[in-house]
Amino acid sequence: MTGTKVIGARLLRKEDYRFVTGQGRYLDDMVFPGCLHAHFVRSPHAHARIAAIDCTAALKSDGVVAIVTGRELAEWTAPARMAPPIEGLHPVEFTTLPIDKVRFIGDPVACERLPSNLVSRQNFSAGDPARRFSEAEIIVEVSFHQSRFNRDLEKLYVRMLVDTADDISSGLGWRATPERMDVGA
Amino acid sequence: MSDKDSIAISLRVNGQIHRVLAEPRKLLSDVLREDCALTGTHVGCEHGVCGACTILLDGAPARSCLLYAIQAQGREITTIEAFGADRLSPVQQALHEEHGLQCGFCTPGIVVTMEAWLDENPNPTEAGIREALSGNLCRCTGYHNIVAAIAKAAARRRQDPAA
Repeated sequence: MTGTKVIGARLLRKEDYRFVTGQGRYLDDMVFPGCLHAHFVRSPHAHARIAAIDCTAALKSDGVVAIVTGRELAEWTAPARMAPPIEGLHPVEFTTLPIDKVRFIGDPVACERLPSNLVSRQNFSAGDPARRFSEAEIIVEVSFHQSRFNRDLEKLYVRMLVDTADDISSGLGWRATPERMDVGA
Repeated sequence: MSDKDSIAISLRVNGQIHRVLAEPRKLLSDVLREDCALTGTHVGCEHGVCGACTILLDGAPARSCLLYAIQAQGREITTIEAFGADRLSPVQQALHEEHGLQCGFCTPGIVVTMEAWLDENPNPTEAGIREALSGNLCRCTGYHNIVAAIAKAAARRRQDPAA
C-alpha cells in the first residue's frame, strides 16, 4: 500500500491560534450582566470546632450582597455522603459548608457574594457571637481585596472564631487492615 | 480626593493611547483586562509568581499584576495582542508545532517573556531556556515541549532575523 501515512501521523492542534495570540476566551474574560463573585473564608486549622461566625461588619461593606455560612446552606442543600462499600473505610457525611467543625486547613466556612446589584442584604450569624467572641481562644479575621469593585476595604472582613478540637478521634477516615499474603509456590 | 476616587489615567498600549478612569490602587493587569478590553493578559496568582500577566514595559518583561496602572503612565506597554497579528511570531509558531501548550492560560506570558529574552539571548542553551522559563508556571505540559519550542524559535530567529 502506498500513499500518505494516516495511522500514527502527527496531528497539529486546530485550536492553538487563538491561545498563542491571546484570543482565547476564559471564564474571567467574559462579562455577564448581574454576575456575582464569591469569596470563601477558609479555616487556618486542620481540625477545629467553629464556635461562632460574625458577619455583621462584612455585611455593612459596600457591594456585599450576602454572606452564607454552613447553617444557612444546610437548609437549602442536602449533605453529601461518602460511603463506598470498602471494608475499613469510615463512612462520612458532610454538609455543603461546615457548620460546627472544620476538618482541614482551607475548609471553607463562609461564602461572601458580591457585588451590589441585588436588592436585599440578609444578616446571618450563628450562635451567640458577642458572648462567644469574648470567650474565644482564637479569632481569625480575614480581609479581602478585590480591585474591580468600589469597596470600603476597612470594613470588609469576616471574623471566624474557632476552638481547638475536642474530639480528634472523629477525624478517622481510613483504617487499613493489611493481611499477610501467601505467594509461595 | 481620597485614594479610592477614580482618576484619569492615560496608557500607551501596543502603540495606541487608552484613556481610562480608574482608582490609583487598580493594578495594571486589571486595567488592561477590564478597562482596555485586552484580555489576553492573564491573571493567575496576583503576586508575581506565575508569569501569566507578563507584559513588556519599555521593551522589558514585567509583571502587570505587580504594577499599578498609574505607574505605567508615560511608558510603552506591549501585550500579547501585539504578537502574531499578521503572522505568528517564532515563539508562537514553535509552541504550536511542538505542542507547547494545552489549555493555553500560561501561553501569552510565555510568548511575551521569551520573545524578549531571545532578543537578548539569540543562542540559548537548553539550561538557559529552562532558567529563563522558570518565571512562567504551566500546569499542563510539563515544560518539555515548551523548552523544545523555545529552542526551535531561537533557531528560526537566527535564520530569519525579520521573523
